[in-house]
Amino acid sequence: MRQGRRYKPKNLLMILMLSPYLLLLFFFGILPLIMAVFNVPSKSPSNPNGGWGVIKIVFKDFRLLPAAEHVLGFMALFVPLMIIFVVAMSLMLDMNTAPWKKYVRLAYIVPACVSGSVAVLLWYALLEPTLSPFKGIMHWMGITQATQIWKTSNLTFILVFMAFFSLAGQWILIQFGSLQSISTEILEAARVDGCNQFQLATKIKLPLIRKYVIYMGVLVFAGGLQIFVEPQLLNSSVYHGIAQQWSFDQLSYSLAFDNGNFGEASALSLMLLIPSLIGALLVIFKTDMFEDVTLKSPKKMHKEALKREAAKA
Amino acid sequence: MSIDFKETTPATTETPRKKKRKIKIGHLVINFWLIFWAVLSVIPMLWLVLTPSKTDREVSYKNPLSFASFHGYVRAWKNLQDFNSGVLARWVLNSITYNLAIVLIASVTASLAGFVISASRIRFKKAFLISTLIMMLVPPVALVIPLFIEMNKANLVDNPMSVVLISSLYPFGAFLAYIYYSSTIPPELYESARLDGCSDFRLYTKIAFPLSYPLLALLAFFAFVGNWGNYFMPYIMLQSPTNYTLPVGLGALFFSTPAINPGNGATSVPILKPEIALAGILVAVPVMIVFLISQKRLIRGMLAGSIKE
Amino acid sequence: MLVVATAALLGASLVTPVATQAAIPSITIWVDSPRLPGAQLYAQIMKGKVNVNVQLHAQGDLVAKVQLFNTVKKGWPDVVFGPPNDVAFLKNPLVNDALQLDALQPASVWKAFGAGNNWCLLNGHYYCVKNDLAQTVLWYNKSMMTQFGYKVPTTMAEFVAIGVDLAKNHPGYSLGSLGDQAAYSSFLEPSQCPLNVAKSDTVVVINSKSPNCTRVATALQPLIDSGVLDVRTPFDAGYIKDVAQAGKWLMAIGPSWWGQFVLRPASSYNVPAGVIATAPMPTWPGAKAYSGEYGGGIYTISTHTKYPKEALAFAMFMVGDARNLVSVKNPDGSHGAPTYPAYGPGNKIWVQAVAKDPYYAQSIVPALDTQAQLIWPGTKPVRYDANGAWGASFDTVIAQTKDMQKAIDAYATYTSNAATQVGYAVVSK
Repeated sequence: MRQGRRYKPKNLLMILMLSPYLLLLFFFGILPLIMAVFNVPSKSPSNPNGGWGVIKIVFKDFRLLPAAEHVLGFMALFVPLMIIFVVAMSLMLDMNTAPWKKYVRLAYIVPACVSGSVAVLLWYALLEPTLSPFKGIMHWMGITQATQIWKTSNLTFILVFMAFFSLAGQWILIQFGSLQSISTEILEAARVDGCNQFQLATKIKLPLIRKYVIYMGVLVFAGGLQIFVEPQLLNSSVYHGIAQQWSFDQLSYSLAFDNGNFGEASALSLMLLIPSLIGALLVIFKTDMFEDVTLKSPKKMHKEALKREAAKA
Repeated sequence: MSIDFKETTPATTETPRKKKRKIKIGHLVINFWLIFWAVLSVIPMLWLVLTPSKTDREVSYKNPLSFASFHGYVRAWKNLQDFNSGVLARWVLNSITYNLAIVLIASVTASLAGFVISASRIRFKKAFLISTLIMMLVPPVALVIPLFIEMNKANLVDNPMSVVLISSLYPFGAFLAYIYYSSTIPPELYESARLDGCSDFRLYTKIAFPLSYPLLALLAFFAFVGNWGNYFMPYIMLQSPTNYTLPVGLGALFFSTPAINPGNGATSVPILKPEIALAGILVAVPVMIVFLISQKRLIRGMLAGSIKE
Repeated sequence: MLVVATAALLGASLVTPVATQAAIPSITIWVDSPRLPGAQLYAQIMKGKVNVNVQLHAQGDLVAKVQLFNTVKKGWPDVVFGPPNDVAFLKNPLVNDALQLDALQPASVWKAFGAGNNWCLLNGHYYCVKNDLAQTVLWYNKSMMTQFGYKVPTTMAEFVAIGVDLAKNHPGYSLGSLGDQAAYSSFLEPSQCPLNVAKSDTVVVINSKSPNCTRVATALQPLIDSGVLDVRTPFDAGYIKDVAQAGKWLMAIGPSWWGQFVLRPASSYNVPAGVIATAPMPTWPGAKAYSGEYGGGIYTISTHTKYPKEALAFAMFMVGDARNLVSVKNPDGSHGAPTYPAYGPGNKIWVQAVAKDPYYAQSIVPALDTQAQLIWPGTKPVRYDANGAWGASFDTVIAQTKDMQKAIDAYATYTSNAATQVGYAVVSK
């Protein structure tokens, strides 16, 4: 980075080009966020006199602890599953680029194409032993009645399944893309050195896409913490009420829109932002994620990869 | 399906035959797994595609993945299309126009932003990255009320502009663009162009933009996929059915049908599982078309060159 | 609206020329899809007299969006169709979007509702107009009852006795199911079990240990154990396929809309024509033959409306005018309102067609009419999702333990928490 030069009027054009994004960022990102913060101590039904005591009220909510249990249980399964699966699938896809794989990749994003009220029907049907296209497997597993699936103790698994199924495809696409952009020279060089496909994947490719995996980790973590759509869909399904205020974000939504406790809702939402933000900032400051995007010659990268390999051996 | 690995794994020609066979079996297992997962991903959509061919009763009686009759599609389509004198077409049209506007504004602003951050000497790279990351991490529920207040001040509630503007903020895109530009275009290129008297604006139009087709495909794709099915923000901002997007309209139509909400099941609107499934196809098909169109550029351009030379 | 907006743009001085146009009242209506044809017909009828702006919304939209409207102090629709509990949310002084309606129309009109609008009568005043009644009655398969040699039960003891005999002599046959709100509206409410008895805006009785609740659990438990009463919801695809469509549904206590929308459709229970009949509710000892209620929408009118009379006139059109009740063409080709109108004169018009419906073995109307006046007045609108709470608590527990009392207790615990959270004091009496 070239820094420390004097501000030149030339930058005006740059600022001008940046300004459309900055305007959007300010009006629809930063300003509402600031308003949300100031909203926290506002007067509301649960906090009639206003004030920051509302945070205490959030913690006293009887639904908060169950929501925390649900969401943490969900994340414990979802985040590792997602990262391992997506990375493994992308590496497998990248082993060779046979033309048929194009269709396989298309297939992976298909589940993400269904949303909203249609997804309610689809998930209801998928998990209903009399309607499901997977009913053969269900019956084989001894599941013949919906009540065996649709119970509150199963929700974590159902939601992991739903979220995983609808999100994995897009991430596979992104990670596959990052693998595709690894220089062929590096890979050739590794092959010449006698790497087999497995070594190539774990010792060369994986370290090279490491930062994208971390990046995905942060977003998947934040997404898991903020899980909203899936339980909300289940809750509005045929089994109405089964996932009421199941997650933090649902609770926050309910506080705002069922009870008009906007302050409480903002407080909860903003508290959720903190762990995600810490994770994100760690990525920015503690890893080379954003320092390292400068260009490297393939030779240098190859050298580094070999060095890494040597260090491990 | 026969797959030729020689072309992509030339190294194997030099290894003993035994090892080669081992790898081949490994490949077969992996390919089988990849295809298995693809089939698993497609089956629900297949169910959705086949469901309108049946009557609502047949949906529970016939094999879930069987085809009943083509007439079923006609009937389901008629039931959807007849609802409220064809308001469905209006919702489709709305969704298309709003999304075109969003994709255009979001992609252009994000690509410009990414370019400026990577090419200029303005010292706010970190601030930009942090603010962008924060925006990607904020729960939407937190911003709904403030955004609604803003839109009300601007007199844009129940105006499509509110949805377009809010959805056009595209921090993920700006971030992608930044990575793309800073890794595909060496700074020396800008330097020499500047020495040749290029203005900053021409740096973009003459150097960055021509190199950024893959990026734009990527930005447009994710902007489209992210917004096409979006329910929450349009639901909050839009009040008149004539302004609804497809997901919001379908939500209002479907949530009072027994197929989704049997508790308030008394209805004389013929919207049941086949109709909802057909609408689901309507929503899903554009995403897949966009994917197919952008597929080639997408994969090549994805986070392009960041690891390449 | 446009006129007002233009006027504001042009400045106050230019308002006078358009004043005559602005004199036509203008109201905005939110309805769900089944109510849409009636609302659109009304808009057509009122053309030139009232500008009626009809908007399609999912039920329950207003309760979510009213918070936004209150924040920006505009945007409230004038009259809204919504689920029954909405009135408690909207009447809450902190929300304040349910207008008190008493004085807007003559007392005689309110009186004509009979008991039909009791749901909307809060602290002695009307805060909504009930669209339809979902009073429970006994639905039964008449020919099957004859075939098995059963008499239509008039008391719960007889109902249970049939259940015991059915399990012994006709295994697999069913007297209905308990999930969702079925257990409540079919058994607990008629027994006057206090699970949602709001005594005021701030006090609610929730007591699953009341004898009126425990007697239900005790009476039904043998039927649950033998499977005669199913623990699934009445709409469970498995229940529909294994029991109802297999021809093993004998009878059940269900709401007024059961016949047309649950028993009849081919995709639902698919009970053949000519066998369905209704009877008044079987009684619990020492009580009237109370009905529970399962559904039934309401119209609320905004406190912010400029045209309260015009808004109320729309609600009354929907519940009392033959053009909506029997004539309006529905998207599925049927005519009229789908459900039993709450307004006395309205339901007299509506039932005429239903009484002649050849689908039923005999007219279902007498039982519906009797029970319409006997909906248990104990259940009151509350500011938490008392209906959704069945799915959140009762359904899971009953499916897992098959223990009725445990399941009722789970519901009581869940709703007590929910009620406390929104500011109710929960008492046991």
